[in-house]
Amino acid sequence: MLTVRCTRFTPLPLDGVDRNPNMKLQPSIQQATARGIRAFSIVEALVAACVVGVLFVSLYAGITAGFGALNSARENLRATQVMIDKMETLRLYSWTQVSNFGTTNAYIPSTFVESFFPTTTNYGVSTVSTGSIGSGFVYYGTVEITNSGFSQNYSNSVKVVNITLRWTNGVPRSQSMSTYTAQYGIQNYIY
Amino acid sequence: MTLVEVLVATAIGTIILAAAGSLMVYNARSLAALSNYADLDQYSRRAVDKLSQDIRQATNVVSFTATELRLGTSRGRSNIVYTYGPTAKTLTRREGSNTEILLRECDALTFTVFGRNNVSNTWDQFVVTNAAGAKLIKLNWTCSRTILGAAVNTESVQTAKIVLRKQD
Repeated sequence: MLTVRCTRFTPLPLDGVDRNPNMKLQPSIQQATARGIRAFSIVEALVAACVVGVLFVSLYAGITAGFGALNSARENLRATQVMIDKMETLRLYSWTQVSNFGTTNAYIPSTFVESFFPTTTNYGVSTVSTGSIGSGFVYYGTVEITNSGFSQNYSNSVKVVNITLRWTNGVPRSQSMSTYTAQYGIQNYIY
Repeated sequence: MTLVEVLVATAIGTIILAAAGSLMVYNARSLAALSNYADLDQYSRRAVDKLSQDIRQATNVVSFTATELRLGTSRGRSNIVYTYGPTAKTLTRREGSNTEILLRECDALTFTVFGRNNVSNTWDQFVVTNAAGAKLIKLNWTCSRTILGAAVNTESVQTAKIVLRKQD
């Protein structure tokens, strides 16, 4: 049997607050005082600290790696400049001078040394100028001039020039460049 | 919260804010340095390409000093003049009425002119003082940019030896 109980309708007062004692609503302030919501637990704080720590370490590692790559690019760029300098001056050697490489009458040296910061004579007023003159690490270069290895009949008129640079700026690095030079090529055009 | 709790929380907050601020400044400086490097490298590469092209095609060196290079050209073109201004810190290329600034904030630049003869057992050539004997030109410059007024790790060094290709 269904029993229906009716209660007298009581309108809300003008301030909108229901003061009916039969209402079972709990005020929210009582929930906030529950034990689990009062503050972060130690586990939560530790996990958050670990996450932040990993983020910071990753950020710094990323920046450091970026600068490392940049330094490596600068070192390689300067090494390329040095080797191109030597290759360019090959044009000024006669064929006899090229052929005599490695003999007692050698004209072309088999080694050379260059610094990262080349000497410049007319530095203006700059905050960086004084620290740059003659400083920086050293590039050690070696030169090899060998037979071309060709089988054609002009093989004795062609040589292979190989220039290798080695340097250490924290990490040992090297770079090499090679070219052919011919008796009736660029030498003949100058001499 | 008690007064002690407020003080401790304030101290921790200050430390965290200081760390975050210093990290932000460091990141901003790093980003500026990386941008400066890229900018310097771009301008230096463009300048050395232009110089190499002009020197290799030149008929002769008309005149030179350590900061100015005047190259003769063929086919009725005007002479090409490269001038470094130590005060303005610029490298300028002038051909006829056309003037172009190739490098800015260039702390130092030197043109060194050599003849055709090599020095025995070195990779050097003999320096010449007369333009008629010029066969090889060595370029050497350093440019920099500043970060908050200080030039920190923002240098670009460029060297090149370029041989005049003309047969004589």
